[in-house]
Amino acid sequence: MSVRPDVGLERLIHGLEQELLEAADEEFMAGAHDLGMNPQSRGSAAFVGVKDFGPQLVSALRRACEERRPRDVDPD
Amino acid sequence: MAKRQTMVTTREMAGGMEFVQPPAARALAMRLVTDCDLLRLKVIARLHGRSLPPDISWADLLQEAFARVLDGSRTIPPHVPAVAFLAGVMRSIKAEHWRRRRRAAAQQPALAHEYQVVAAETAEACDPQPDPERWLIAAQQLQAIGTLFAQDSVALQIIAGLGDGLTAEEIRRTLGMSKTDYDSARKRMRRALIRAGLTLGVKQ
Repeated sequence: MSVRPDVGLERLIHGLEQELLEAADEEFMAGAHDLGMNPQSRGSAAFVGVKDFGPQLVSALRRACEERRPRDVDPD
Repeated sequence: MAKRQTMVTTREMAGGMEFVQPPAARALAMRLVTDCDLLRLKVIARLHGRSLPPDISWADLLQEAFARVLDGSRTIPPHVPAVAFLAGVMRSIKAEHWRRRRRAAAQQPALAHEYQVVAAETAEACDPQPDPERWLIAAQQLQAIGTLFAQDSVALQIIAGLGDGLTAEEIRRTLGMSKTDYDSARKRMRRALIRAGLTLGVKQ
């Protein structure tokens, strides 16, 4: 690549995004099935971070709860 | 509705303890998108997430794009597919994020000056001043994407062409590929991208 990394990456992402926009629905379903996921089932792992809170949010919520816990405890 | 100034990050949501249904799920319930659209947008979000700093996840980007459409701050024009529009919103949010970072970096003139000494040698003259963090993330992610296609030499050549801003036709001509071979390589690339985009894990 003959350009600055940030410029090259954005151009690459744009090009790959077009590929993904043009891909058939079946390719996404097949991709999920390849990974052992069934997007048609309720609570499918394919939708982690999309239909539910993602792993980072769950982790952040857990940290937030842990940080609050000491204040909730009655010192007496 | 006034446009939000900051992106809703998972951390901020946790701080506010907002236990609400994610915007993407609400959009699905409203039939703005389908399940398959969500899969496609997840893969696209993870792709865009590659050029964001680690404190902002692809899920933040995706949910923020949906949130802006749902709250009316971004309206899907008639005849524009929702998925393509949401992908555009993600691009816009990302650009907005880096603009904010650039403004913040301008408050550190010493660091910026030292960086410019190194960066000036390879930077394109017409581009705005590069952000050191963005430069580093981009270099790492270009390498990561290269690793994703490490077993496919044709895909690697196509990637290099896309990074150089070439069109599909220009890449095909440069590589001397038939349309069939090129389409076959694109299909392999899409498959790898989709797998990478749907696989479990926090990292993009």
